[in-house]
Amino acid sequence: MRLSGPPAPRPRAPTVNALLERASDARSGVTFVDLRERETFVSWAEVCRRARRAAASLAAAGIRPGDRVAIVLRTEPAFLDAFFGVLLAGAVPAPLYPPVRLGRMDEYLAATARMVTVSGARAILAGGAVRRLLGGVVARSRPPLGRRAAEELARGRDELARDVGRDELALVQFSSGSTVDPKPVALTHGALADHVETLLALLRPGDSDALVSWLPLYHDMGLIGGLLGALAYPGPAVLIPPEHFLARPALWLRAMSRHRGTIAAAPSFAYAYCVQRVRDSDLDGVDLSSWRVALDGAEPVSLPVLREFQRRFASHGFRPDAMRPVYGLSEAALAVTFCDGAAEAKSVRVDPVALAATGEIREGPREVASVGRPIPGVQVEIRDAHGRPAGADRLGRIWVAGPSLMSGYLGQAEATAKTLAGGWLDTGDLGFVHDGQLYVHGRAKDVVVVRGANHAPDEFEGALAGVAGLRPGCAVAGGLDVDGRGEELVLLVERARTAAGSEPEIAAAIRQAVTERTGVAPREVVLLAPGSLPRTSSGKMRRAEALRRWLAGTLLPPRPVTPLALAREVARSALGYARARRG
Amino acid sequence: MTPREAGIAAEILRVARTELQLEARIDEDEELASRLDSLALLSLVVAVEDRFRVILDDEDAAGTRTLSDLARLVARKLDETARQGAGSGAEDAGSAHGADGGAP
Repeated sequence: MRLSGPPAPRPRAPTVNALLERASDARSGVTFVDLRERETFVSWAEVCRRARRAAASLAAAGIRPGDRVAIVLRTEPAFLDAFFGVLLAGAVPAPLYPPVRLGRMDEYLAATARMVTVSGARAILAGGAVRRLLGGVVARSRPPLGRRAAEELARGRDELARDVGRDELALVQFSSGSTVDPKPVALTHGALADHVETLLALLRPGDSDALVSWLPLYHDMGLIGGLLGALAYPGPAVLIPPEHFLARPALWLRAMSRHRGTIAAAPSFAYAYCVQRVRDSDLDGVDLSSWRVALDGAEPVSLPVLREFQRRFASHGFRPDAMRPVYGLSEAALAVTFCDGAAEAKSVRVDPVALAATGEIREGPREVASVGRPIPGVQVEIRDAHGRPAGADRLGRIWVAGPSLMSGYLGQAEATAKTLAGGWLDTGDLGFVHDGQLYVHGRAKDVVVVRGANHAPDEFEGALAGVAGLRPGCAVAGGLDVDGRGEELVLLVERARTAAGSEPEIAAAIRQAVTERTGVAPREVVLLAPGSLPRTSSGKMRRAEALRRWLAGTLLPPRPVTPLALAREVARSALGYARARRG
Repeated sequence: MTPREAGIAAEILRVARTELQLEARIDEDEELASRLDSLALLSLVVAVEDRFRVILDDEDAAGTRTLSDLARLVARKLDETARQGAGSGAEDAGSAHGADGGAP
């Protein structure tokens, strides 16, 4: 089954650098909001001027066209200097996430060093204290030009704006995959310029539109969908640091109201977080009636969450038709499908067990949200287990074609060949087409998506090394959506034959080790007798099969540590189940 | 911990419970990162900065692993702020909630 989007619009500018040039006299710009709602405004004209100066300093420091440059900055004005300065120097920015600040520093530095290495970055741009912290990263990854101060980039008087070609790289992003084996997604100027043009064609911004975003700038949704979208228009973007949103989610809604925001995007978890954490007292006088597009993507869309958000904030003028489930992935720049606002979000109720067993869509208890139709220029095809096109209402693997696919994983030909074939991208996600719309349901690739962030299972499994009482290497991590509100981490772990310590003690040690090393707290830790987990003939764990058996109750764990009999019933209908059948 | 630091630690726990709804029990010498997931940790840092009106920069925080480390760091920051004089050093010192030594 193949779905085709309408023809791609003609891009207003061929490259990101040309988009910046187009915005160089724009009076609108970027407003940074801090925790106390103090605001710093930088017009696009000023952003361009500063970027030209930053480009000149970078060139003077030895950055050459095509060089990758890692950027470790928070949502702050210096990010714009660094990001756009690197581009105008003809080089390629690779934004990386800044440290969390309390603990986990060793893991952070190791992961950052790996990303610097695989992106081939020649320098790291960071500010103040973060820069000093990154000494350990430089020692491990040895970028030839070391660390550079982001806050000094735009201080010089010289200016530079290099011309670049559409086929040259414009971005290396790491939003998908693993911290152990990070996959640098490489995107060209042409791919990005075309993609933002498509987003503008979908959103059709006008004079009164304003974007309000708390999404990280080291992630496609915040960077490409947010910052580059606003630049291309050009129009106002109001940016909140993600850590401030997490501490005080009302900041987002209050900024929407104050700036008459019209467009914002977030994963389902953020909408749930607002429902749980925003107090009525934070919303005095808050008016959300200007909010016309609320995109929901980056993790499986949770309909119960969207409905709760609509109910909770309706009294503040939130329009129910603003909610738009979307689907995409960083390998496709950002977006693949989009719900047009014309119809309210559609959903179907399916029988997940039948779906998993036969691939057929039958009426059942599990509600799945439509993520709409392909965006302009994009085609989506559902393929069966043999790689042939599957019919409508048949579950299969989602493949994508279009002008904005990645050129590949930078420097990783083998991983690229596994993902890109004949102009088509294997998303690793499962889904089906019903009534001309795409529904995403489960995953064929081994990835755990917790609160919009992708994690490779080996991150969690590797965190168990050193926990006493376990069989080394005999563990499986998976994601499970127990109640339709988003995926959570489940660990299936074999005990050692002669394990000391009680099961609750071992389980507590596992929780502690995994939370500490990965920052994700497991929902469920299941201890199993040695040999319970299914393996391939070469002895590797069969993750999907293990999760499927556990859900079906045929893995025969001696005792789950926190018995969740009810949850398991519900979980039979969970995403994990459908995912499991491809393993 | 000194009694003052213990007071700050108690206030940090109160902020975690009431403002962040973090229910995890945290002992003073336990690694925060082994109790709190990354989302909770991020919001805790920001909430503590907000409550005590201090800036915990990345270098300070790098050596901060336990609740008592965090309480000691906050106490040190409050002292620095007080030395620099209200209003001239750290931003917002002396305003609304006051950089008054933390625990009520």
